[in-house]
Amino acid sequence: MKITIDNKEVEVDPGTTILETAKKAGIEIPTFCWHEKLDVYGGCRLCLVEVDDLPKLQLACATYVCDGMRVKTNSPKVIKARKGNLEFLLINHPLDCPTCDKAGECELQDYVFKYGSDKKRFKEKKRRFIVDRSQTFDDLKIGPQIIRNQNRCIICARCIRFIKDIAGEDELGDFNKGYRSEINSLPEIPIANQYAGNVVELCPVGALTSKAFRYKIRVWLTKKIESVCPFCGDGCNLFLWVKDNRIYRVTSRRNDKIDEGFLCDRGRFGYDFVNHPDRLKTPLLKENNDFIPVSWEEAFETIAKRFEKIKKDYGPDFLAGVGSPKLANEDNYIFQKFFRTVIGTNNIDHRVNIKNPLPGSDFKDYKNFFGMSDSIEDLENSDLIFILGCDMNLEHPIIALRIRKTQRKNGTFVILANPKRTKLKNIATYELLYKYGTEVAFLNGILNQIIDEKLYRIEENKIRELKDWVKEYDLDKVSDITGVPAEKIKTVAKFISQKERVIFLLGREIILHHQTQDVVDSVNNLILLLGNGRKGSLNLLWEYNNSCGALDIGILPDRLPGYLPVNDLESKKRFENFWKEKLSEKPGKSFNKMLEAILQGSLKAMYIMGSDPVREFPDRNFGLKALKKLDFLVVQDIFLTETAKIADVVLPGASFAEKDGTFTNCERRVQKLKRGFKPLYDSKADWEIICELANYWGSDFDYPQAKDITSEIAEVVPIYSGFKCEQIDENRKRLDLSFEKEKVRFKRADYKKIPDDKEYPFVLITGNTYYHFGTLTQKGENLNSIVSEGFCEINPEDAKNLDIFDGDLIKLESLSGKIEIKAKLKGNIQKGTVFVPINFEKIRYNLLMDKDKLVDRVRIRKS
Amino acid sequence: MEKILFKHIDFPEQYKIDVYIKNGGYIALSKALKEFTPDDLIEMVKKSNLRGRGGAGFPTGVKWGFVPKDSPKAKYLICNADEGEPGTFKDRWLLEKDPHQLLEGIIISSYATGAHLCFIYIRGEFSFGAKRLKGAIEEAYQKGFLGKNILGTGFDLDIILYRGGGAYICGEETSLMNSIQGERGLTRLKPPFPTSAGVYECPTVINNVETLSNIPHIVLNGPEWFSSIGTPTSPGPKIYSVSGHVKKPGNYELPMGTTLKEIIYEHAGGIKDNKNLKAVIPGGISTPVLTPDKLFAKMDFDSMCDVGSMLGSGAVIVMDETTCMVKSAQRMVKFFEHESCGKCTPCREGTYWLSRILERIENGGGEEGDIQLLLDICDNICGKTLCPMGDGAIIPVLSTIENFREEYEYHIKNKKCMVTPVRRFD
Repeated sequence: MKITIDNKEVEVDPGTTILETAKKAGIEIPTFCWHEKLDVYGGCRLCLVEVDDLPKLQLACATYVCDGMRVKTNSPKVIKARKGNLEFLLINHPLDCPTCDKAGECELQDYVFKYGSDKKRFKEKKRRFIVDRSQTFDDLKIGPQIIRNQNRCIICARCIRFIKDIAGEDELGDFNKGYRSEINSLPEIPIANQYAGNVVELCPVGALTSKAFRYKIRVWLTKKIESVCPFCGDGCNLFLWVKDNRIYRVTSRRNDKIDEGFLCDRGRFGYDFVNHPDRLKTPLLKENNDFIPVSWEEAFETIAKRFEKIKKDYGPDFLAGVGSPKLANEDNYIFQKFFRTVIGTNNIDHRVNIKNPLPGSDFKDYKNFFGMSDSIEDLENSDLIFILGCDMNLEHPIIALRIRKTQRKNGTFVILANPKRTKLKNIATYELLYKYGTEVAFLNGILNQIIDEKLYRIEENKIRELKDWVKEYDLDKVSDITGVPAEKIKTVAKFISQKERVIFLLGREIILHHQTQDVVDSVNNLILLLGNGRKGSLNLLWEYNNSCGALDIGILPDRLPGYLPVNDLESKKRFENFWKEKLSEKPGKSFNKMLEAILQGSLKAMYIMGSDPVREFPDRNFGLKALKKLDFLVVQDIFLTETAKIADVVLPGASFAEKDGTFTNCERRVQKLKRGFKPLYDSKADWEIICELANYWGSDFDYPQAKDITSEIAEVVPIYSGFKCEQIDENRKRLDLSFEKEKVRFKRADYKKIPDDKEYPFVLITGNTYYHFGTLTQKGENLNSIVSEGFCEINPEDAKNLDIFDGDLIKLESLSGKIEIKAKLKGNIQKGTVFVPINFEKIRYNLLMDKDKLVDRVRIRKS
Repeated sequence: MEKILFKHIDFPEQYKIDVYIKNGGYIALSKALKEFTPDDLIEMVKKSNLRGRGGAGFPTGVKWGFVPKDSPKAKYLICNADEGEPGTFKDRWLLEKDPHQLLEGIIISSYATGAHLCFIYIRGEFSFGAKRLKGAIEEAYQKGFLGKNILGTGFDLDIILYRGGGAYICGEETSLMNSIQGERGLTRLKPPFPTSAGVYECPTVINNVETLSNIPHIVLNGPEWFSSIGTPTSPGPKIYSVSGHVKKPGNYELPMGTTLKEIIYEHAGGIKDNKNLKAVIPGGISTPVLTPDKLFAKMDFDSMCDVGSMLGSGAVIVMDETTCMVKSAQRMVKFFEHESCGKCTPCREGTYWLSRILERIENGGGEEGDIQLLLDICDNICGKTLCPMGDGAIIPVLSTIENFREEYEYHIKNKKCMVTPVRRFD
């Protein structure tokens, strides 16, 4: 269709609005209530334009173009309307720009400057929403991080629409009507959902500001640095707003492929660990159980001397390195290169929080452990999203938003199968609550049901074997094991088999599962069974910001970068040629095996970079015992972590804001983060420390900048080939994993019965919380102002039986230890289970865990 | 004219179903369901040229025709009983005194439009009316006029009586639908129009109480009979609610096109205390005020347009010579300021500003240039709001300035009213 807009001819598709057409033509039409990611609202009336010869001006945001339409965006009529509209908005708007946080980036300010009138005609008294007469600015705290100043509000309702439509919450609304309309939360119910911070960014004026940023700095004095969120695996794009070595705030750097311009509060407010005063400032050396600050020289000398000696006395395999899924690809790459070339061992791992890390070295089929086979965007092209063992809002809040979006816009069906009730339940078609650890039985039950009712589309002869395996999983038995009603399994089996494009999302529960392999196989069996023309895909959502990167880059005992087996001669040669060093072909030890080796005396020294196994390993006693037995332990981190406390040398690394590099998110999109300021105090970027150590040792690690490492990764790591550092941001591409897609066949997976334990009746589930992620966020003030304390979620009925009330201090006890914790009664926890967050240093959840137990169980005692 | 809608309005216990039936009620329903197809009924109403009595005067049959026949979605009928336009009190009588006439109209209209669920959105303040309607609905269910298989014809209909919360804007159809859905009464963008995506995004027909009450009579007596009443372009009977400075305020059912003069002087008994007439608002306060020289004008949709006003809801507000027009404008704008939903800028902020200026002038603080400013603010509101309320809100200002500019000037100059004594409305 041809449209003429301000005498410019534009070609657009039907169904385009005038506003979109104008954008295409490069013509600005001012808007307030319109937002690309929100539904059209039509409230602000600023985008009125003249259309053809219609007597009334038309809304550019809501009027669809038709062929031959003639639009004027700057006729005298339009200009007058705009002026009038901005005047209306200004009559009651306070002129407190000098103290308003939004000044400098305020849309009202900008539009008035551009389109407004310079005459003042309003002589009446301005409307005020007085909160407290003694206050000058009528500020009202409506959430732990959100401050409202209603006087400045222009009622564009972006905030309300975001909270309601996008986040699916009900915490924010408009109250009163007409000129007394105000945005507010309900009394006693603050706006504190995990996406609340977005309203501050969405607000075009200074009506909603964040406690974290208020009155800290004028926005124009800060510098905007492109970065990537350092917490969960979603990899949202950020802007860091920095000045003088300090981050003042974080906003979204919209990437429609991932975050669509929204962040969760962990990413938005969790940045303040970076400038925390407890940051490690210099290298530390332990002498007589005390740390003394030393120079880098001294630290390197000690490390080199001790490592050298252990290597000489026992051999290189008596040393081990632990990388981190939280650090950049560059850090991890250099780390594994150091261990493989300078030390000469494959004892490298990063999976410190997994009891039995899969895949093992004997494991051929890596395909399903790579992460997601679909992209986050692909979720919108599915008919059914099946979420298994994943509390999406806790683990991947931005993927949760995308699921909400596709449910709302495309009517995609959502099935939740979890051991606890999760937040997405209000959009789920079916919610299945199974008993913890019974996934395999549950999936086999569905398989059996599909076969029973002949709902599959695959040839009969191909499923003969499968039929035999799963026939023992009849409805009644499965229902008995899983606790899911038989009728529901039946309905869901039928429902799944009717859908064409099914995406399975598997979360933390499955990654940490005692039967990870079997769960994945079962899901694969299901996909195959549905098969024939239908598309199903399996996605394992890795937890951390760079979990996928750490795997890709070879922080694995049995795989070189790019998953090439260490014992494969061709692969080994490839890297030997490149690194000009001989490599060991002996697979190394995974982290849990390293700990065992220490106790057996076959591992003497360890270098831990960016991980805190004392806090994270699912058996604290065992982990601590082993690590303490080491002859020599080096810990490189940004804080004196619990692991660092038992180290012999501690090296201060740099946070994500202080270094260049790349993260690979859970859908395996490689993204660049840029350095906001130089490493604080006397710290160094992690890759730089390793390089300097290697060079001190006499190697030649010649990487002047992080991007030189990125280039090397692109050159040497097969699956990263073709990525050039400069291109990463432009392409925003995902890695193509087709290289190892092998034909999947049915694989037998049987349910392993979890033994009952009358003494310790409660199953312990751990995980992140809405406001904290991993171990770092708790350092900062911002998120602590929302939640600062750990709690044990417990089913109200269980609590009643134990005579426990909300907020009571209780003791959780297992065979291996006990912790004291506050009880929080929550109906979303199934009876017989308790949930304990992993984010709080004081809550030593792993004290309750035993590495040899399939499932950790506890009992509850009143304190 | 023989009374039609009000024929039995004063009949004792007309609100009871037995009395209503004795007086010839529910015959039209039986006729409509048994003798006509829905399409026949739509054609019939189109032919009768019945125009909506809520204010806009849109042809009812045409509106019904917009409902998509092939839509897989449920279809709904809403009876708009949120009678809130100041000066209007006709629907109140109809639903308090003859609720079954309305219900009969609703059932026939639902059948015609394919609705199996009807909402009656009744103004929150009409508690007595709501009680009467509730009783009437119960009676209708008992007699089999509502519920499953009505009169054995296989047609099902349920009615939900929904009481509003007292917002004027909820009389506007899109806010009304939001209100029914349990949301705030904010207006929605149009398009989509209710007939394609209305309440719960389903095709919805919204008609006024008086409009629906006419339906049984059209079915009984035929469209030709109906269009023989009133004027050719605005046929049928009309209830005029007369209030203000008249001797006999009240509801008068007369043919469409009765002149203002006849309504005021013959039916409402003329001006109170035999004072002189100063101004008439013909159709509720969102219609422009008329001066006595326009009394010849016929009260129908088109004739009112010809004299620069609107028929609106037919609420005739009469003001005598003692009325201060600045004060009246101020009072009317204050109403709109209070009732603006607040969603769109010009209405929310514009009415606030107009109201402040008028208050200032009324209180003796007027300044030179205020009239010009008022007119310019009105221009900045006019045609730029989301719903017609913004346009309605500026009418009292524009029409009083146009017709009584000298009163404004006097007020601004002398800091007091031109008329004495001042009669307070509030």
